[in-house]
Amino acid sequence: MAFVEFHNVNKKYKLGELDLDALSDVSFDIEKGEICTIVGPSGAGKTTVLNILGGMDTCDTGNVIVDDREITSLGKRNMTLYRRRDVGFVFQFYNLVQNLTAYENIELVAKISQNPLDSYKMLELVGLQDRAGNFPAQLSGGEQQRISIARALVKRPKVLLCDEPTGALDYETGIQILKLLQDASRAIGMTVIIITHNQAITPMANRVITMRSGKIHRIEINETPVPVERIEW
Amino acid sequence: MDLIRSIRKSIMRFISIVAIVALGISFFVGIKSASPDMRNTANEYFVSDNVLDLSVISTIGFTDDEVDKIAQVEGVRAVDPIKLADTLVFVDGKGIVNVENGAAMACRVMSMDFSRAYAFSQSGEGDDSYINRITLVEGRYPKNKNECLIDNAVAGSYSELEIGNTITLAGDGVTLSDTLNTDTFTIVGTVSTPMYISFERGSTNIGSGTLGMYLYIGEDCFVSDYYGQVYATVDNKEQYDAFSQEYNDYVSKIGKRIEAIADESISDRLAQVKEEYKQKIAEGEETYKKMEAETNAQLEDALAKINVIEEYIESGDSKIASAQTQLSNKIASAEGELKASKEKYESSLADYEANKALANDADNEIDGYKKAKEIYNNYLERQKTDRAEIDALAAALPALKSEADKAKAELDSAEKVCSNLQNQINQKEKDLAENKKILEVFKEEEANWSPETSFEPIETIQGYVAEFTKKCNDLQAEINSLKAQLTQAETTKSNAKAKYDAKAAEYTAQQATIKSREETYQSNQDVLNSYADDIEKLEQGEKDLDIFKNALNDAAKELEAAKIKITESQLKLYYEESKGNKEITAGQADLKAAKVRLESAEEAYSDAEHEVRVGLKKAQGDIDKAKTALEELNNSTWTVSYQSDLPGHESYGQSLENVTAMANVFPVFFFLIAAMMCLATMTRMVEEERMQLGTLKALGYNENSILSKYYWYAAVACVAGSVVGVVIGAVVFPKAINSAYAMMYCLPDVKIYFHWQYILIGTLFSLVSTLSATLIACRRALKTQAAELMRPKSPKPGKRVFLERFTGLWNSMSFGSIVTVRNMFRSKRRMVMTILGVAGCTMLILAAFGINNSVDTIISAQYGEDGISHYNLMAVLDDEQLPGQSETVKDLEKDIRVNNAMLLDTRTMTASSSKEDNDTEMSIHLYVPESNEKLKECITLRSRKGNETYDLTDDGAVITEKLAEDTETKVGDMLVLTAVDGKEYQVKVAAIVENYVYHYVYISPSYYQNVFGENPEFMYVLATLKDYTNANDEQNMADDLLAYNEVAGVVSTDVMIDSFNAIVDRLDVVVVIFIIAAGLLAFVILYNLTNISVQERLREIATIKVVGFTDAEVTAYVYRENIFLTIAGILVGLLGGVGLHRIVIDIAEVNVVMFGRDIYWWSFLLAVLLTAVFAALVSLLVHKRLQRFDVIAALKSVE
Repeated sequence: MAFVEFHNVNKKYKLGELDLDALSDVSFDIEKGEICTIVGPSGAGKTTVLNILGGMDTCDTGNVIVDDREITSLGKRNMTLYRRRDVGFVFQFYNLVQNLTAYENIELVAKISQNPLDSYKMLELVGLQDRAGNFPAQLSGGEQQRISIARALVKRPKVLLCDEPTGALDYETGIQILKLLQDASRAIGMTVIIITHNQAITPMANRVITMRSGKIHRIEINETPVPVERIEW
Repeated sequence: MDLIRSIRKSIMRFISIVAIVALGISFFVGIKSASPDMRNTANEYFVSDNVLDLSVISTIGFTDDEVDKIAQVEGVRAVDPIKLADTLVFVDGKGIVNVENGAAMACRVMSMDFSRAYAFSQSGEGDDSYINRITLVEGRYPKNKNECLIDNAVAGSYSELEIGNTITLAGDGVTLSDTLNTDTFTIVGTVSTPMYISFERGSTNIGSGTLGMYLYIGEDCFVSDYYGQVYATVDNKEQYDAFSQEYNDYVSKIGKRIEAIADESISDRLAQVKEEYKQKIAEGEETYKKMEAETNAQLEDALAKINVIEEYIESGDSKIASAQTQLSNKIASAEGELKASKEKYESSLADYEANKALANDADNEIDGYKKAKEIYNNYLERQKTDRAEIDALAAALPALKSEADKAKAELDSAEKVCSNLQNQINQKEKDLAENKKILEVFKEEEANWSPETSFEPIETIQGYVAEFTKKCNDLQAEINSLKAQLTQAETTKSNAKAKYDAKAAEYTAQQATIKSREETYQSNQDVLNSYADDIEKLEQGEKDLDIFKNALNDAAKELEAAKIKITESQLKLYYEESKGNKEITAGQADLKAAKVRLESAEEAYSDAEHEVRVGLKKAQGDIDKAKTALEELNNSTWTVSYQSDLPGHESYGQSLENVTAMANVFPVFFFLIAAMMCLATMTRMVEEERMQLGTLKALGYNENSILSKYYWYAAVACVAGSVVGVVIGAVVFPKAINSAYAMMYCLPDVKIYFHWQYILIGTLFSLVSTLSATLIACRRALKTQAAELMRPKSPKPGKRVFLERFTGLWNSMSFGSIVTVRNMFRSKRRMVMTILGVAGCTMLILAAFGINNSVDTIISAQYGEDGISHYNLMAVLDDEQLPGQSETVKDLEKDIRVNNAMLLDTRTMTASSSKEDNDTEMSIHLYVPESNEKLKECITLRSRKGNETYDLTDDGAVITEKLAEDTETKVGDMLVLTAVDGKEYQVKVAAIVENYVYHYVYISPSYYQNVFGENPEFMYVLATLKDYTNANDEQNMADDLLAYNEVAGVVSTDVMIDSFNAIVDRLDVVVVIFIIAAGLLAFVILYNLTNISVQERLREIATIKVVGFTDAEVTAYVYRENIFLTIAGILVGLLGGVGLHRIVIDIAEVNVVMFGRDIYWWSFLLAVLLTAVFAALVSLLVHKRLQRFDVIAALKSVE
């Protein structure tokens, strides 16, 4: 059994009179420790997959299983706990709390986790131990995203969900961030799911899921992922 | 369209702007309108009920002509002459007592054309000449002469004055029949008049000087043809505000015109009246003299009769006295004698007893002596035998001597024999010894014989030896025989000697015996001889004792006799005494009967005298009055008084000013809050829509068209809020404020007017502030470039906060606290606004409860447990009483329901400050208690702060707090008291005491004497009932008291308490309104600010929700800062509330009461709790909102 499983997931959004099939009959597996990219054009349903996987949204039919746990049937409270314990989020716009320092942003999550890593260690891990006392506004985009990754990892999540992590960054910084993700995955066997519309980064993934119009278009297994440094776009 | 969409989209924001504007406007318009509404209501009432603008009084009254003259004065619209009299009021023969000052009720009786009044009440339209139109409150209009309408204000408070009761009017020291032709009226209705807008009724020259009520009767009840007062209205009165200076100036100009024509108008009649008066006085005086003479004669007769009885009593008295004296003298002398004889008897008895004791002693002694004598005689006997014996012995002695002599002779002869024999023996022995020696020599010559030597022959010698031997032998034999003879002789001799010795010894012994016995005899004889004297003496003593004993017996007999005699004289004394007493008692009984007769005679006399004197006094009073009037006629003129002189008028004007002052302070705060809220909300709105703004700008729209949407949004919210606020505020606040003032004034219910100026000002101000807030927000946004606008506005960067500098403290804080502190300081403006808003809420609630407390305190602290006034009843006596002599007080003190009772002198005076720059004049009650000690039981004199209690002393007055405050009088200062007659007295202030209702000056009787130069007239009784008594007992007690002859009326404090409580209850409305306003304020502000804060931080909140914060944690994260700010706000608000309470009390306090100055602890608690509840409600709403909001949308929205 795979670590993450989507079985025949359907999701409809109501937009006024119109029903929009966000996801129709989506099924895929992701193994533990893999880096998986979900690619596709805007509106293909990538973010819906991420939202459902991240416990932020529910599906209409079908099952989602993470680490042998059915998350589609969780209640509101358990959903919150699932997000708190099992999922790490990295957002396109970092979503750091502006009013707190870099260290405090990590601490904010560490405080509510059951068995968190040390927040300073995380800063060191992302190479920003010198910026601990800086507010997000005093950091560059890449630095903010690194803090964001540190914040996601501090709780020892089962899966790391990244929504366009490089979307707001320049090439150089993007590479750095992807490297960080790949290193994390390789170092601690973290399952990393990256959502992107940037086809160029797919070579670094073990598994590439291509979506179109709410459906799985293609699933490719990449036996030999390329180190991030060799990716170009 | 966009506008409506915007409103619908952000309905909460829109409502919050509407609400805050409504709140601000309602406060502003409401409180601003209160004063004008009350003013207009009063003015309308004055116009509709045609209150007088001025009134004219003349000492000689007005004729119709004179009234016409007044009517013709320029500016006078109409006149209405009336007749009036000030009287005392009696029901069932008891005087009504004015509850407010405890004095006899003084009543103003005014004439009224009831048909005119009835017509007005039916049609609502009246002639201009119907001035001071009355309103029938209850009952009906009088139909005949003996019916009256009564003051509505007293009808409710005095059960005696209910509709249907009959009242009797009486003059105060003068006969009323000169004024009224009937004095008994049935109450048929109660009325109010626009003349009296407060509960004050003005002053009078009768009774205590204060009018307590008024009464309307028909004009035909008055005797006089003249009118006493002319009411007048002026032209254009409707155009003036009756409380304004312009009005006063205008009316006084017309008043001066009236005064100007006074002298000429009345001069003719003055002379005539003077003449009339003089004649009347002369007549009166004559009648008086006649009456006086008559009554004096009558009285003298009566007095003479009394004197006869008195004399009889006196003589009887003196007779009895002399009899008593005699008797007592007799008794005294008898008693003296008795006493003397008793004393003598006693002393003799003592002597006798002593002698008897002596005799006893002597008896004992003599017994001893007898025994001694017996012994002596025995001894004497023995002596005699001794003598005989000695004599016998002595007689025997010569025989013994001769015997001894014979033995001696025998002995001597025996001795001669012996000595002869001895001598022979000795001779023979000597011969023998010589012969032996010759023998020896011959024996030796024989032994030594030798023929050679020997001369003689042996034979010779032998022969010689033999011879000599034979010779010696012979001699020896001879000696021996001699010796034998001697021995024989010796024996004879020794026998003789023995015989002699024995005889001699016997003799000697006999002799010695005689001698010793002689000696013993002699010594015994000496002893006996020595006793012999004593014996003789004792013998004499015995004889004396016998004599003494005889005497003693005689004395005993005498004593017995004396004793009997004493008893006899005692009996006699008793007899005399009882006899005398009986006689005296009989005499006394007689006298007592006479005295009873005298008493009743005297009583009858004094009653008669009192009656006569009262009659005379009244007559004298009338004469004096007439005289005074005559004197006054000389400077007689018309006195004009104005509407502002009507009682309560001026103070109502002052109250209106107070409300205006409050209106200038209060709403400002709300307006500021409202403006700040609008600014914050609009700024947020613009910021939220900056993308749209930027897009529009980029598309080439000009600024104004972009901004118009926001202006319209703000304007619509503002106008909506204004409408809501005006509608609510303009109705609620004037009513509430008026209800507070309704405590002291009786005016029609306040009418609500819409004061466009305030509505416009309020609306404009909020429009301007909201729009300028919008403008500021938009300008800021539009200044930035379109491109930048379209990008999300970078969230406000985090900042170091002040606290971080204290590294130690900061590091020791929990992570949660750090987050809270950072959030709290994120927007200082919002922080300040939250604190202010919450503070305002707490402040309002605290002030509202505080005002309630203050008003409650009036009753509870004045009359409640541990209050100031303990007395339950005040009785008015019909005549002055001296301390310790009032029957009422004595009986009250015995009554088990009564704790204590005391006499009191009280009167109303006007107090003013001795300070130059303080012209306050206050009506006070002067209290002079019977004794300083007794006052304590009825009234506690204590300071409000520190609860120090004071005693009334003889060196100063004790005055009440508000009186001291308003006249700026301190302990040691002088206070000026003005009596009704205008005399001024200065009292030194010894202490200032807590008091809430009315003003008092307490003065000790002796200090009163000092200051006023006369003794206090105790005409009142204060009684304190036991704690367990209830209102029922109080009423019973009051009824019991009324049964006393000397009690003219009784007031129970319960009546006062009830009427006050009714007033106080109305203030609760004010409290509720304050609390609702406060709650709205807190709610709107907290909700709005939290809302803005949440809006600004949507992404942040979405993020923390996504990373797994539970709903409760999210709310706490957002709301914790608000809790801190709320607490801070509450603390600030408590401080502000105390201040606001103080201000409101200062503004709202009316003259006769002092509000409590303290807020109870539970008010603080309630203020805190209610604020907390409002804050909690807001947090609940926010919590719900945070639960519901769409995380994904918030995260997705590209800001």
